[in-house]
Amino acid sequence: MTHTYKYIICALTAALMASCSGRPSYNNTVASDHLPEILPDYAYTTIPSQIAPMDFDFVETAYHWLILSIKGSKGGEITCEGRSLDIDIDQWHSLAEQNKGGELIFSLSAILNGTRTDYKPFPMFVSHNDLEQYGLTYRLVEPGYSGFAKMGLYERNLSNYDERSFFETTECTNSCVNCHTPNRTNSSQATFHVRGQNGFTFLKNGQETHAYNMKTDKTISGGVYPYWHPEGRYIAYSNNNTVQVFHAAHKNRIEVFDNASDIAIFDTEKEEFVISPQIKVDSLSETFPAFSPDGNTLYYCVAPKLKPSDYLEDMHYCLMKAAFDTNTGKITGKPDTLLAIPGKSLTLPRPSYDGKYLMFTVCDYGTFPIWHHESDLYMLDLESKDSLRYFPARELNSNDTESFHNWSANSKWVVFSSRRDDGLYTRLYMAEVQDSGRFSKPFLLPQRNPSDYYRNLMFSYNTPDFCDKPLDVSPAGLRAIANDPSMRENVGVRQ
Amino acid sequence: MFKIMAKKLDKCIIFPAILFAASFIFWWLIRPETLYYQEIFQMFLTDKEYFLKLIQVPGGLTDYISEFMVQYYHYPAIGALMLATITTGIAVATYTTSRCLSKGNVEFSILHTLPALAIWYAMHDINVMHSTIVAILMSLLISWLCAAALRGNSKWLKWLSMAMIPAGYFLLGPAIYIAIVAAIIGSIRHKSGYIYAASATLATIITMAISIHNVLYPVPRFLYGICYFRYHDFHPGIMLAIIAAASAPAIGLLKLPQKKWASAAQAAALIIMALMMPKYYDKDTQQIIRYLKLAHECRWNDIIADASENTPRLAQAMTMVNMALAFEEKLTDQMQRYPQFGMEGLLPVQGHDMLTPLLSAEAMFWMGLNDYAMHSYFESKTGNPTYRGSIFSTMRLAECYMVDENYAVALKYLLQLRKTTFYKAKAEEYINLILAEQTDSNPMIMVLKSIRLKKNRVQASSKIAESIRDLLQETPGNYLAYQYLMAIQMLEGNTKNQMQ
Repeated sequence: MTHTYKYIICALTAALMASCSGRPSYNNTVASDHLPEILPDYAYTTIPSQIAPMDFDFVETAYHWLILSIKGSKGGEITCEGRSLDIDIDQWHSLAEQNKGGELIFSLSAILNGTRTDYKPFPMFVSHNDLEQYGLTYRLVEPGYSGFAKMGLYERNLSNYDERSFFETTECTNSCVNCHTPNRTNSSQATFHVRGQNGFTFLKNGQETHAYNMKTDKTISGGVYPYWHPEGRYIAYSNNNTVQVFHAAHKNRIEVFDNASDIAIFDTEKEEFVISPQIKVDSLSETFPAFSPDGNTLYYCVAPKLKPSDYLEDMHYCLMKAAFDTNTGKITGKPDTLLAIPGKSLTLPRPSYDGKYLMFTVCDYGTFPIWHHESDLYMLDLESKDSLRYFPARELNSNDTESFHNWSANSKWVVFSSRRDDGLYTRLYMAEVQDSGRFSKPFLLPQRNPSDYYRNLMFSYNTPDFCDKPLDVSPAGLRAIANDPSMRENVGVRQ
Repeated sequence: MFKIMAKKLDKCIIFPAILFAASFIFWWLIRPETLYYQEIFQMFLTDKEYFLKLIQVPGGLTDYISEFMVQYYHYPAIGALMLATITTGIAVATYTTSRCLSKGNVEFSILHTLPALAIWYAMHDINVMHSTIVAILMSLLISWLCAAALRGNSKWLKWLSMAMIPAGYFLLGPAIYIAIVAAIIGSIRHKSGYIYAASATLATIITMAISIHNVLYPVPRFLYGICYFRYHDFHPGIMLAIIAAASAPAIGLLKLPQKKWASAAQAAALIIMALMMPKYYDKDTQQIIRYLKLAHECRWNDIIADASENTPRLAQAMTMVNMALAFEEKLTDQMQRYPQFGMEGLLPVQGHDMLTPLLSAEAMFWMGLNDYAMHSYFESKTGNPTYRGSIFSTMRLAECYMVDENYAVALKYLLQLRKTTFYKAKAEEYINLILAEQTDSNPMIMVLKSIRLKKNRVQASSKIAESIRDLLQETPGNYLAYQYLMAIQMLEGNTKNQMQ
């Protein structure tokens, strides 16, 4: 009997060892003269030292085993090997921190059928600029048409791979949730809206949370695209009467446009909208508000209101700016056209928090660039004295869509959404802001086993923004708010 | 000896045998389309990630098991066999639980078949998920274990069986109420194990509270099951089945007359109840999904033959009949023989549910309205309230993207389909074609590429007639487009355009 047990234990041990087989042996080593084909393409990118390990997959050929060595130009080395590469988070952070301002050299070898191929090493630059952010918030939504499918708002820790959902439409069926917006990445002040039968606008202001019904008889809808005033008292919301139509045979499948839209300033202290006639003009559609970092200017986009006989292709938005009075919450004086590009539509203005640049999205027409394959990101130099200097953010743009974007609190990093990978599913890219408004090569938001992760992800990333800390609301608390219409607070209007 | 055995067999075999046979025939021959509906509106993936994703919410294991089972509905006979086995298993588990609860002997009676009949009845609603029947069976098995443990003397067995109740809540969902009831009744009847039953109940309540706190779903859905009903709503039929399963072991203790005539009467009653089942299944809904199944199998003449015997009463069914007529080039000649519902019964505007878009999508797909079809399949895929997609729509979406020559997105869907059991081979065939850059060697893709609509129109949803006209102008030999265009003109009474 004892022998029988011995045999069983030996057999089990052998099976276990076989299942956990280590590095295969190899007889010869060859050196390749080209960079390895990896996904995502992280070669020559610039990263903040706080970012999660930049795991990647080798996609050039079949292989049995991968060996990765990461050497820092200022010292330190980590290695990692296996069927897939999973870089240790702690080791990665200490190496990246040690090499701030330097570079990490990635040397990758692949073993196949007894031959080890050493690929040409590639660098990844570690910026001396810190991220100074906890992570990102975004919406995940299927890139669909008109039905409210499953979607949610999520928070991602950028120093590792942790993701947390803080609101999903499983909470509140047949609803749509979007536009989570913190105040200059400060999660203590944040807002988002839920549309649908139990719709509301959520607002977190310090310790207070509110669920507002922002539809009033003086505004054409509830609050849609928000932007916080830097002092935290006001939020500019656009009020949009949005319509969605479809193409019969076109690479841009969907058009979303506003039949009408205005901007109203919400006073969080008095819980009322302040309406200024300058940004509520009947003949115009005003949308996408954004305050300047000093809070004295409101940037927004405007186009002539669409008439039934008009063609969508003729709807071109331009960038506007208007003086804002922080005491009254009103627009003062006449708004000016900041920038118009003939034959193009300018949307989603986002000034950097240091006041130097304004990033915006340019597409051929309309107000919904994510469904326009030609959409690109542009920069406007707000410090240029003589004439306005604007230019495409070439390093960020691709042959496909680039759309929503935001700045980190120190204005050294940007996050933007792009459809460059397959033309449909939007992914998030980050890049460092360098001199003269140029950018480093953007990198895809790192994930563990990135090829599998992104291939299996049937959702698009949407409206990304940085956040300085996790949003301090429990899913249970938000669930209670979402499902209890009696918790809605009506808002007033001051004209 | 033989007589005694025969008597025992009478009791234990006849009722389950009747139930098994009736249920098998019902699902295989009478309502196979219900199985098809369940099969196409899910997408069971065979990878670890899918398993981990499902078991995160209460009832996840049941969901996983039922989805695994439902994929085999691809073959209706296997599906019927599985459902008949589970239905019979529910009756047998009720009986064995009853036996363990009793102090003496219990005979198998019609009372033990009540939970099986109740869930069978509840499933007349096609949106009752088949996870319900799995959850009830597994909960009854736990009930049986609890009742057996309470009757015995083994303390560790008692603790083990009682520990299965809170664990069962997380794995099976609220059907575990059935086991809680059995544990309470067992402890009362055997005058022991109160502490075990109380602990199990308390632990279940704590498990529920933790689940409610951590998972993003409204509270009521935790109480009546996240995964039992397709829509986020309370379903009385499911609750009735759970109540029946919870109370049947106790009710089964009632002694019915032991005479032969009584057994015969019970058997007759069971047969009558089984025969009545089809009456509860909504004929009109069944007709729609029956036609959908036939359409996906391109059995156009079967649809036409069925429609001439059972005149469609709903626009959605008529959509499928019109499509069958169009495929057989009989639409313009024969459409007036059937009640027409305007455009709603010909090419309905996309609904936001999962079924309606799918009905017209097939016609659009084959006609060359690729973007319209893509839209419809996507709505159908994402419109599933369980958020589990649709295996059929995903395959069609992949084909649409191949026609569209967006191979990156097509590959994304195909790689997902490669993880399924019955769509794997087709997915691999397409993947190989894409990788070899030989998609045109597939006759269907090649033809669809050549006939697909080229002229764009904005606000396409309201301009489908114009788009079909464009199709016909671009490819005059497109007989489907011709049939539909003529049908639209006839429905609109536009004889002038028809002549043109």
